[in-house]
Amino acid sequence: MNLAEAAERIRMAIRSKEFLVIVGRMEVNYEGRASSTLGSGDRVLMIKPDGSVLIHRPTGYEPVNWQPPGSKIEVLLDDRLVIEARRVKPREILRIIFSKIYDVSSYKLRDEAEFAMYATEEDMRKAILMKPSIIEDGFKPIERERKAGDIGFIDIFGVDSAGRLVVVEIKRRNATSEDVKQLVRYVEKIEEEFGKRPRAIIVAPGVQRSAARELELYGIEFKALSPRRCAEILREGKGLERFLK
Amino acid sequence: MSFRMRLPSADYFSDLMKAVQAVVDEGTFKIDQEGMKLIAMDPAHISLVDFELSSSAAEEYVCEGELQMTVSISELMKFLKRAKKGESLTLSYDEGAKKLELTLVDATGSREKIFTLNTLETVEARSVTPRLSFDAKARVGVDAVKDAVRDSGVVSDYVKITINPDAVVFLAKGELGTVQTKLSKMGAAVYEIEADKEVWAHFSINYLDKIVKPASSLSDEVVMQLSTNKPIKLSFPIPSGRLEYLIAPRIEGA
Repeated sequence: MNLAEAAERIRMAIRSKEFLVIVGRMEVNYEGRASSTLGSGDRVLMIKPDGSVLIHRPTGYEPVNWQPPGSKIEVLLDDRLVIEARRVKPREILRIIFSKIYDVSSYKLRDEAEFAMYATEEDMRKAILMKPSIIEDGFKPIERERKAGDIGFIDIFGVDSAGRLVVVEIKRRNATSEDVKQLVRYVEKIEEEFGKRPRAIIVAPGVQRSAARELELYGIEFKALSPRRCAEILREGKGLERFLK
Repeated sequence: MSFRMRLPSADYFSDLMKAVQAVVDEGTFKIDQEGMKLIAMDPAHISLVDFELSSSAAEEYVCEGELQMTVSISELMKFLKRAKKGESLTLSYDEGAKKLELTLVDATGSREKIFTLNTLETVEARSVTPRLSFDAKARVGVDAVKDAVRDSGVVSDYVKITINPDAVVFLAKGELGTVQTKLSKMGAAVYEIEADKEVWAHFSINYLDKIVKPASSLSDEVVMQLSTNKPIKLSFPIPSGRLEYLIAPRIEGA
């Protein structure tokens, strides 16, 4: 790809806030809190829509140079193609000088997933099965992923210390009124099947305000449990604790 | 409340702290008239260290009441690394000021260096040595164990340790192949075996190595205690103190 053509594509992508990946032969200069230069070599430059800039060498998991979000990007062209990422405060300039461009691609990327740092809902379920007393003393799980008629699956189905059936629904985020309604439908299915109404517990880090009223309305119980605590329980289960009683 | 302890050798204390650091980076010491103690687990709760240095290890030991001191062991090590051979070490801690003072004095008493370490917020520490029962016990040369663990590391991250009435066996299996070290009861590396039957469990080589390496500069032998699929206890006999570890086994499917 010739440099002029590449420069045009890069400018377009930056203007339309696309995720930009440029592969080429480049030199890198940095001036700011320190200064550094990196001679010519084949590398991958990434420019993110928020103004983050990363340069990766062919090996290693960390970028060799980078600029944080908010950098202003400029593209200059003479006999070489120069990309500058500037920050004002602190004053920092990352200058990337291309002698060859192998490829330029840009994308409109969408990623709204939540980063599950501690535990997934599946991990939370494992933690409860490993240590049912975190729900309440005397709680005994009987089945997980139990079918509730044809409307779905109950996360954990069990009995309490008084022998009453318990339907447990697990959420790793705050419970919503939609979650409450879903649980109510499970309760009705179980009531149809067993002829008596089970207890129902939503296990989540918290409850949305709008759902709190519905909990009371439908007689659904809430038990606070965070993914983080579940991660701790799973970790303890693998470690020394289970031997040190 | 305060505490003051003078040890003839700064190097020795430095080696002890390296051995504690194998398990924890931040530790809470309980200090009383009898000595200083620390019982702690690593952040993943796989290993535990049970450390005690009794007041008899000190040339001078003053402790009023009972106190707790939480320090970053890696920060403490930065100071202790500055100790030269033959230097004595005096530790003094003022609970109110939350400062630990380390005084290093050379053999002739001509130079005194004082380091002050800010201690951390005290967290309630574990104080009871866990009690576990074991079906087998072997007293083995520490270098033989260190080598066996490292050899196992060539093929795997885990090693199966077996104690039977005749030998201590380390067996590691990996994609590359297998490594087995057998330390026979008749051989020079094994001092004693007490076992009626064969017991075994799998352990992380990483944890074993982290513990055995620093402890090997403090003791020539290690007492290994084991039951099938239970934690292993490694005790390193040290003068005027205790240095013991527990490591959780790896159980298939767990």
